[in-house]
Amino acid sequence: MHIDFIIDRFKENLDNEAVIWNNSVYNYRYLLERYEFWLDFLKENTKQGSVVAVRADYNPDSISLMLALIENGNIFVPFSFANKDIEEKIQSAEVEHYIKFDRKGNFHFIDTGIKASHELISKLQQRKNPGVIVFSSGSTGKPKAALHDYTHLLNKFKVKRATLRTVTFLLFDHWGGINTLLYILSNTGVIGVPDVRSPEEVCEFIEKYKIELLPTTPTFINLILISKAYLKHDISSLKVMSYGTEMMPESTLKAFNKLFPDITLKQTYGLTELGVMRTKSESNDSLWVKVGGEDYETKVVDNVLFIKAKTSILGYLNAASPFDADGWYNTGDRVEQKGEYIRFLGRENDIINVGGQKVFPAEVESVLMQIDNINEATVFGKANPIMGNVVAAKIILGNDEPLNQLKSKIRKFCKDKLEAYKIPVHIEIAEKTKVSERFKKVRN
Amino acid sequence: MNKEEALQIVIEAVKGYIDDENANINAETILLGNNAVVDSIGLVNLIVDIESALSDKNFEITLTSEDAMSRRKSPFRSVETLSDYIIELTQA
Repeated sequence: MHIDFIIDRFKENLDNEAVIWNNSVYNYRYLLERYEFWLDFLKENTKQGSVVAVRADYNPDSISLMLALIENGNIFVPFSFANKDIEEKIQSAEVEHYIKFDRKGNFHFIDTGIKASHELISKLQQRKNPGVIVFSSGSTGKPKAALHDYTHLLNKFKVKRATLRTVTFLLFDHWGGINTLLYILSNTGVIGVPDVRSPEEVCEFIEKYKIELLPTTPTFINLILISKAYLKHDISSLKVMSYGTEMMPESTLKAFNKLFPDITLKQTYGLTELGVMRTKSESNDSLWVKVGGEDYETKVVDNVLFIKAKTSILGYLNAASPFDADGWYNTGDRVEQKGEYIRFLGRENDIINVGGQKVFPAEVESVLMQIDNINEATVFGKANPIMGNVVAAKIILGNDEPLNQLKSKIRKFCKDKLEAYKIPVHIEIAEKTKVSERFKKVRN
Repeated sequence: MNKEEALQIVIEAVKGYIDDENANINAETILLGNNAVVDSIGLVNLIVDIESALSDKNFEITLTSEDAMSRRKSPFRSVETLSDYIIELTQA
């Protein structure tokens, strides 16, 4: 009942390509068969409304299972292979059944012995609506279990729209990834799952399967630029590259746009608590963006972005509601405003306070990365007895270079581009950037 | 470490930071206040540079200790006072 409209579209497109996985192409007929298998399986083994966790990467089975969970009215908790604290999350999401895939696609069905009783879960069960629990990573504190009513999300996809052949780059447990997936499935598009998410493999995959849309992160775009993987593989089938989840260095954006002027660069903005918002960039090489759409209201208070959404979460299962009395959500993102456009400056938590002056790591990183022989720069604060904090930078070089030479080169270059307090005081040369499995920079 | 060595380290660091090998930097050069050759963030940089130069010579020293910050007469006043302070710390 919940996803009749999606299943009807599958039936109209049985022989069309659906999922590219493990070097094979699966069509919608196959997805439909697996969907029916999983629906029977869930009916037999779970009660409607029960909480079911799935650990997987995207594959035809896990995708069909996700659809079956929605149809069966379950509350779905996605985990990926990057999750290290699944046991704890099973407790906080009150997971009753756990379907654990290995990397080859084989699965185990586990009864956890937990009985979900949280009032928000009961509320959703009374509505008889399917749900999804995603964890908000948050840079501090325990991950928060955020409960969504799936029907809000599904309503967005009832209008049929065009799709591009898309790579699933975000992991299985990522709210943005789930959005992308449902969008493609409900419009019977093509989803490609690369085996390995490295710049070379992804570029090879794009070439081989004529991928048109790569949703990714700024760090990964930078890795593509540094690795020059685009020289080995023809990625000219790409029409759109979307980026989000962390700050985009202006230098990366401009460099990419110069190399690939025909690829549209699109900034996305989504929050676990609210959903993925429609955005419109001022231009391909601009970080100014309009955020919102009909389901969202935005306001900026003291340079911090607040959002009110129609499709926000019911709440957290293990924390207080993040909304104020009027329903506004404090995003913690610092922004600048220019008419209808905003520009993200960074997370409030990442700001470095140098003797009372604020420094955004992204601004400094963007300047550092314009310097010859610097491939990657990660900027963070370091305690200092005089200024409270000073700016420190970890640098990845193209070729070896003595530290002192690098230091003076950086200072000279930054001198007329950054205020003195923003210029890194501490410079370290790192072997490799710390990049998480989600291709986001790890600052310390 | 003797005084000459300490002076040399500080003078080299100042020249390096202001990026002028030919600058007339000597023991009397002022590092703090109105007539200083560096501003406050410059001094912070200078201290970090001197610490790393000392570390290259196997002296692991923190120049900005509570002791340094709370002295009535700051050791960071001039090239000479800073050099004296370095000697004091390396001998401690």
